[in-house]
Amino acid sequence: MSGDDPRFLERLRAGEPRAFEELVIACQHRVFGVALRMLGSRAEAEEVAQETFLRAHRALGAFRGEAKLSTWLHGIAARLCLNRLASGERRLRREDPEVLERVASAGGDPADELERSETQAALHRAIAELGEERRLVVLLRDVEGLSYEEIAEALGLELGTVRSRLHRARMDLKEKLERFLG
Amino acid sequence: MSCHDARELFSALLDEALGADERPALDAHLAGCAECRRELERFRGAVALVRGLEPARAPAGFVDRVLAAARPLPWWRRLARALVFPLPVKLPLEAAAIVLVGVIVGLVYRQTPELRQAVRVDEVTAPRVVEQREPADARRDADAARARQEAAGAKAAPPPAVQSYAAPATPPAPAEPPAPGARAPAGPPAVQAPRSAVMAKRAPAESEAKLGDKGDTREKPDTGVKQEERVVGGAVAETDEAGRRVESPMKSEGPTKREAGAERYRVQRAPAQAESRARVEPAAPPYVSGRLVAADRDAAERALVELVERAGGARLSRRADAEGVVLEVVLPRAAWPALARELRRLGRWEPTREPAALPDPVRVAVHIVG
Repeated sequence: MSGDDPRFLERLRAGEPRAFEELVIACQHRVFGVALRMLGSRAEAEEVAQETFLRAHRALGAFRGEAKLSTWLHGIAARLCLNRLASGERRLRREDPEVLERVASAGGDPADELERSETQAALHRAIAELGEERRLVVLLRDVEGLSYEEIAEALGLELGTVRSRLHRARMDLKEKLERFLG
Repeated sequence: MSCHDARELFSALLDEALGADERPALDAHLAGCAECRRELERFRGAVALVRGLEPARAPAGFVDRVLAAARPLPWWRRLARALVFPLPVKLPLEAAAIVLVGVIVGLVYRQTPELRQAVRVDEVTAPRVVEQREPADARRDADAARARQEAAGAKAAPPPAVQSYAAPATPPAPAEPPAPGARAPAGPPAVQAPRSAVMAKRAPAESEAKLGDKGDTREKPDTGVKQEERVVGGAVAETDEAGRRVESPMKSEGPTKREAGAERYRVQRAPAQAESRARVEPAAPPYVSGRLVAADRDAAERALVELVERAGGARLSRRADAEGVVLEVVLPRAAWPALARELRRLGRWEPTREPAALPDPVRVAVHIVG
């Protein structure tokens, strides 16, 4: 996918199946990652990620290209996650943070792996314990790499609100991860 | 700058989003505050951990599943989904349909009392007229009426009574059978005045024929059946003492479905009922009839209908003849005196039958002539 390439956008708006496939292939991991870390369940994350792309598919004809496609998709996924968390219709239990950590971990030296695994587990737990709105902002900024402006656009927030939530989230994480920070 | 103020700027510092005046102030504070420098290092470490998270990977086959879900459904599946699946749409529609059916049933049911009342009036009134008269007179009147009808021309509709003669043994099968409650005579029965010897003799024989096997009905004298039916029919074509003809709509109006059914019903029931009524019912004429001579026939007709409806009654039928219009109405007995007064105001009211004792409701035939 060539990002915000105007020709690519035209192909998407024209409903070209191959263009949509390219979009899904390019953004699937990022959208799924946000959903997984927000919901803590792979099954729910896949449902939300799939629904995100389906909604985007239906709305692509009206997409004006004012925001980046990735920002737009993150915004859809974020709203779906928050709605699901607020609706109380969650059918699946959150997965243990260690499960999330194992999913992400790679092979290596056993001792390093153990220490790394412990840190990662604590990190996942600390992220999972954040409030939903703070968790979303810190994931979009520090994991997905969105700018303040893109986060504000995706979530429909004021820039100051984004800065404030991000700072509070990071301070919370620092407190929770104190013993791993030397 | 305090330590608190300095630490509030850590995020902006890491993201290089400090304002032009914030950066020098923060640098100056950090230069002189070892605690805030350590705090900043821990802050950087926490953010670095988050930024170092391994990226999650979507499960295998995710793209295929998304593409399959995004593919347009075939038309028959879209149709099935539109008809079956959107329960938020389907359920309210079904509920609305149920309510609509209920409303229709309610409306139809509201019509029922009127229909039942009309049937009851027919049943109560028709045989009583017969009981007042000698059958021979009734036959003579009926024959005279039929002769007049024939003389009037072929375009006049044949009287229902004649139609009923043609099929005396036909099963009733009325289009709208009267309600069971309507078969009982309205009002308490009283002592019956003397009836004709013909009726008294014939009724038991017909009762036997009716009680017997249907195959035996052919043994029943045709003339007897005919006479009885014509007597019943005689109720609809009467001649008053002055020889003036007073017609009931039953006699010559184009028979509606309901009235045809009611007529057949009367024809079949009359023999047996006449016998029982001969013992218990009074000789009071069953309804009021008369002639209204009005300057403006149409206005009088409209006024009459309005008066009847205002009194809680209803128009049963309307028939035009050479002289004017015959209106048959039904209304509560209590409303009749007031209506009689109004009739006299509308024109010259010449009652041909106005008994002292009236059934409730009372049926009134008014021949409006100009």
